[in-house]
Amino acid sequence: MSDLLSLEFMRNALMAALLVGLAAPLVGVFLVQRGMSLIGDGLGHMALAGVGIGVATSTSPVFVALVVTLVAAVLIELLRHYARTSGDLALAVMFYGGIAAGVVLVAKAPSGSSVNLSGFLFGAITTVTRADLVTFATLTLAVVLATGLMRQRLFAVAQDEEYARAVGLPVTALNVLLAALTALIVVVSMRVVGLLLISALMILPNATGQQLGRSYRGSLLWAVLVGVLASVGGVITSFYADTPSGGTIVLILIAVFVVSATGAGLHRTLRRSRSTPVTGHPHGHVHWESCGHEQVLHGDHVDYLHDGHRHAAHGDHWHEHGEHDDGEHDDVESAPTPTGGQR
Amino acid sequence: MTSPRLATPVVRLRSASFGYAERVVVTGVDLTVDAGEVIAVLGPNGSGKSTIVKGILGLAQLTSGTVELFGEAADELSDRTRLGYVPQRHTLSAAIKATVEEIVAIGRVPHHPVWAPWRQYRRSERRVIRDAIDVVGLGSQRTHDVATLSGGQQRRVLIARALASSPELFLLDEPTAGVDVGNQQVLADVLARLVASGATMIIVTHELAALRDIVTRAVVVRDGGITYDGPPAALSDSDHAHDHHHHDDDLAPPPSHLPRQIPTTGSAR
Repeated sequence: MSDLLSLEFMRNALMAALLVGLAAPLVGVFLVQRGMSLIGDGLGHMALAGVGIGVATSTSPVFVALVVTLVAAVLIELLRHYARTSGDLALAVMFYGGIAAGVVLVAKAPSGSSVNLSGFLFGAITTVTRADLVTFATLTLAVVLATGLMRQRLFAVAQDEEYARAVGLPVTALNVLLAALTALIVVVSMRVVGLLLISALMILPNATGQQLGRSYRGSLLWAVLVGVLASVGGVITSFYADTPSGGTIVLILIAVFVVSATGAGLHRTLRRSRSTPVTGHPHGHVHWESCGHEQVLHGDHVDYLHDGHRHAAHGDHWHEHGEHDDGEHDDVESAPTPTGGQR
Repeated sequence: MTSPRLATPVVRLRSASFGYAERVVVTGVDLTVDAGEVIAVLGPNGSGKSTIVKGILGLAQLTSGTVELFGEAADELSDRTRLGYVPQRHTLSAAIKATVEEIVAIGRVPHHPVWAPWRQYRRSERRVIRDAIDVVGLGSQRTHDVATLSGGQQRRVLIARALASSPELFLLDEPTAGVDVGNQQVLADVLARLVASGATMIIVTHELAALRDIVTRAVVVRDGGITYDGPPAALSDSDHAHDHHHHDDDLAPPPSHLPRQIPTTGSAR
């Protein structure tokens, strides 16, 4: 490990992997939520056009890629908003146009510029320079800050766009912001995993997070953890195994996902066989503070006296508490009886 | 309802027409809703009853006429959280795990300034969310993934989300559709609870029967216009509430001895 850290380019590579592994899942979660998991791929195609233009005009490929990808991302979002019907085909035209233009431009690059196409397509993390690192760190910081501030709003819009609009959230602006953040991630991840594998770093950690977490927040924390460990772990592995970093990172992500999905599946099966659901009698009434049924404070919840027995809320059913139970939550469960007249 | 109006009406539509992109669905509707009223908007599928609600919310386009909310033009209403919208959803989006609490918290989001998202963690904010969940009877499931809840429970989550934004007017689009009779009653109880605490409501529904106890006024929409506006008692379930199950013939006009209140001017009521 110390041999690895003694190399300047490996230190840079590890730092870049850490930044990307942290930021990509933070943005990716909203894409998954909106059913747009593959949009990162399309933007990756557009970024290649930017690289091509940069190479052809001898300007910084990363900078031009950033501009082109940002413009493309915002255009896509506006297209989605204003021309819903023809959006799909328009995206296809844009994306194929992007990658084709990129390949042609790079091939026609002025002689003397040594551009490695496969480095952009599949990642060339060991070529990350100090200057690149500063750029990446700045962009990553911007992404993390923006998602941190806007997380609730982005979540609201991705969860239910119509409702978000009804309560007055600036839905279109938030969608454009998400598109811009996605573009930033695409450009930052370009060197680490390559343009063709970018979506993987945004999406796969969230796929794993969904298996491990119990809430939106929990799943996202898992996703970030998995993203960071897999990208840093992938770079280390690729160093020792002499494999390409991008592919190695993605394979690790997939392995982690398969293990977590299998584990979560087993856990669910075990839990289901241990406990059988219990219900009280069919009940057409929600008890609350002033529904008229006498309340009995019972530990952490309130029971309601009801036709001579007590009801405790437990989700969509009501637990029947016997008259002499000892306060355990689901100790006494009467058999379902068709009792009416709850009102 | 017939007493002279003292306060500003919550909603006032004056010959309002609503539609989506070139297609006008509702034409020339007059409707005034006062604070405390619980209005059932009935009518066959495709009659435009949901569009009226969406028009009030600004989700359908106003093509002519005016919409006033709380006495001001609807598009100038700055605080839209005064409207508690419960959209028609059979299930919540389940692409990503989210707990009941997390979904209900969305109702609070517009209350926090962009630059201070940490305010969501304030005790008073958590309290509002907790209370909203308790009111819909999901207190013991606040940390459950919404995807694991039944359809009826998911509706209650949406009601809690609207409630959490502390609205003055609830607009509910088919809150009981696709829910079995037992759970319809539970939903009706939840709505009754909100009404008891003074809520004003506009409920688009097919099932007037389940809501009879709380509805103070019924509005029947047919072919994009209001054909009846008056007490719900004048409507029989077979006539209107379950209209969509039967052939789509024209509504019989309400008996002449009952008030047929179709305001022709904004102040008719």
